[in-house]
Amino acid sequence: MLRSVFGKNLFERRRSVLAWCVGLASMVVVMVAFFPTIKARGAEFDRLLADYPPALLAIVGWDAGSTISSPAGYLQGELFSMMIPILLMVAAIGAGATTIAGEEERGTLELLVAHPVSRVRIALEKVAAVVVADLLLGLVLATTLIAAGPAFDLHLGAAQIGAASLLASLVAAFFSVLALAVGAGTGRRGLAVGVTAGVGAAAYLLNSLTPLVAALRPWRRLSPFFYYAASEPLRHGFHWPHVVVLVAATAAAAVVAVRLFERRDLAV
Amino acid sequence: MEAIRTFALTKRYRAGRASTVGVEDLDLAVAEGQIFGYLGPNGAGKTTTIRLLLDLIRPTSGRAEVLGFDTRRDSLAIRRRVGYLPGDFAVEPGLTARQVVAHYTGLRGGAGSRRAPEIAERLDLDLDRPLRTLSKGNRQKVGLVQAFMHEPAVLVLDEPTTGLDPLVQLEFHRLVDEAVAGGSTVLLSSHVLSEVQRIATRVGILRSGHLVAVEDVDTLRARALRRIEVRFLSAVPREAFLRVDGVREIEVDGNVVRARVQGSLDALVKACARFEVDTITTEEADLEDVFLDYYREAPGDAA
Repeated sequence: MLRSVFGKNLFERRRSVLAWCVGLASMVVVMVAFFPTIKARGAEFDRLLADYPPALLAIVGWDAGSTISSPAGYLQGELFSMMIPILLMVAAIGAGATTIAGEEERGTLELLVAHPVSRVRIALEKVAAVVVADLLLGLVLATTLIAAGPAFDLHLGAAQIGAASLLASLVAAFFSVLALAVGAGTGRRGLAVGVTAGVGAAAYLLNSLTPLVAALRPWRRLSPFFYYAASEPLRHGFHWPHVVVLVAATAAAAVVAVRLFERRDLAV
Repeated sequence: MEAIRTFALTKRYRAGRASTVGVEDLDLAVAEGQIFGYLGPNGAGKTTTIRLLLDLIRPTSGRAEVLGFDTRRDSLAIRRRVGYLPGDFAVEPGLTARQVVAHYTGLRGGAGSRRAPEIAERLDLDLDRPLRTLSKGNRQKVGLVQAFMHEPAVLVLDEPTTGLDPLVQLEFHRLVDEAVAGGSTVLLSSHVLSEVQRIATRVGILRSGHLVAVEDVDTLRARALRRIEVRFLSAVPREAFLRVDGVREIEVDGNVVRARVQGSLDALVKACARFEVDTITTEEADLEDVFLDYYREAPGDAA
């Protein structure tokens, strides 16, 4: 496991990744456990939601025309609109910023780069380790929902849950590789976290506000969150073109990371 | 053939609009099989040179070769053949020394996995403790293990004995001697002469990014002043010692003569022999003075 850069990076994160998995699964179970209560009073909640201003609902990622008493509507409103993206992004951005810039600031990157492994390979193996952890969280999310849902009367197809979880982890993967790229280019972890979190928040708002602002509509496709939400995966399952877009964006960020890392002086 | 060679190697660091010199027009040559002491005060450019050799940073101009390989084009070939101990060796604190060693041998395709435990044992290092529980000296041993384990053709050691106790330093000297006996070349950087004086055969002295001197240690030693004290059975005349070869300072106090001598003691001993000598006390030549002179005033450096 420790014999490669990829393996060592995963090995070092094993406890933190496990903690994230446990935390995520616990939160999902708690949320799902409330579903019977909400469902029983579904009509009341839906009437309440209908009275909210559309702008507010848009910001929190609520689809107009959805009902909170349906499994898809409930999961979208309570988990997938905000909680899941935020949690996965926090884990992803921290990991991406640490793997190059964090190690550089701790002084441990220097000896690694002095070994007979090219910088291209170091960067790519680190990208792979970060992305694998992001996808693992998505897998835990999907598995927990599929396993725990029926116990609380929440029945939704594996394809719907799988699609939403995959898209969520792909968005996280994109931002973790973006953080890695900023770190690879600057060697500064704090900067990588800050820039990526800022870009992430802007991208989230861009996607959620565009339904309200006609002028922003053409820009919506620039936001990774468009490809996360627009296909309404909890209702319609996999929409592969959007999966491909997120994979391609992540790959592009990885290429940028490699290029920046390759040509730079390592910090002392 | 030269193991390390630099050609007008220059590195300037940009800091805002200004730039500072790391090294400038550095022409360094370290012959194969040499133990080369790379000396200079903090900030003189020692670490900059080393980082350029390993392609961790890139030259502003000029170039360098290690074992005939260009540091930019063939860095992987160089890194395969070099054992490197960074000046501030740092490792992920959550791992044990054994795990760190397994990682680095893995990156070298398994090279060194047999020798690493042997070296650890010689340095009295417990491989199974997490690094965060190790003292600075013990962590430094992990650095030495990974630098020596794959029997590299070139060892680049940046202030290697930091934090090591005297017994471990002795073992370190043995490791260096064995490596050189096996054909390796050693570049040993330090800001204190005593660290390199005992094992280096040749030293280069760096000051403000310029190489101000390259000398054999024996030459430096010959130039150094040696203190000697001669005690006679009766008082001696001062005039008898004034024109003795090599004597730089002399003090005659009744039956005791104290002098500082450059090079051979022969002339002074012969001058003493005309009187009845009781005891002669002398010390190892002190290179520190010579060294400090280079630090202070460097010829051709009118900065």
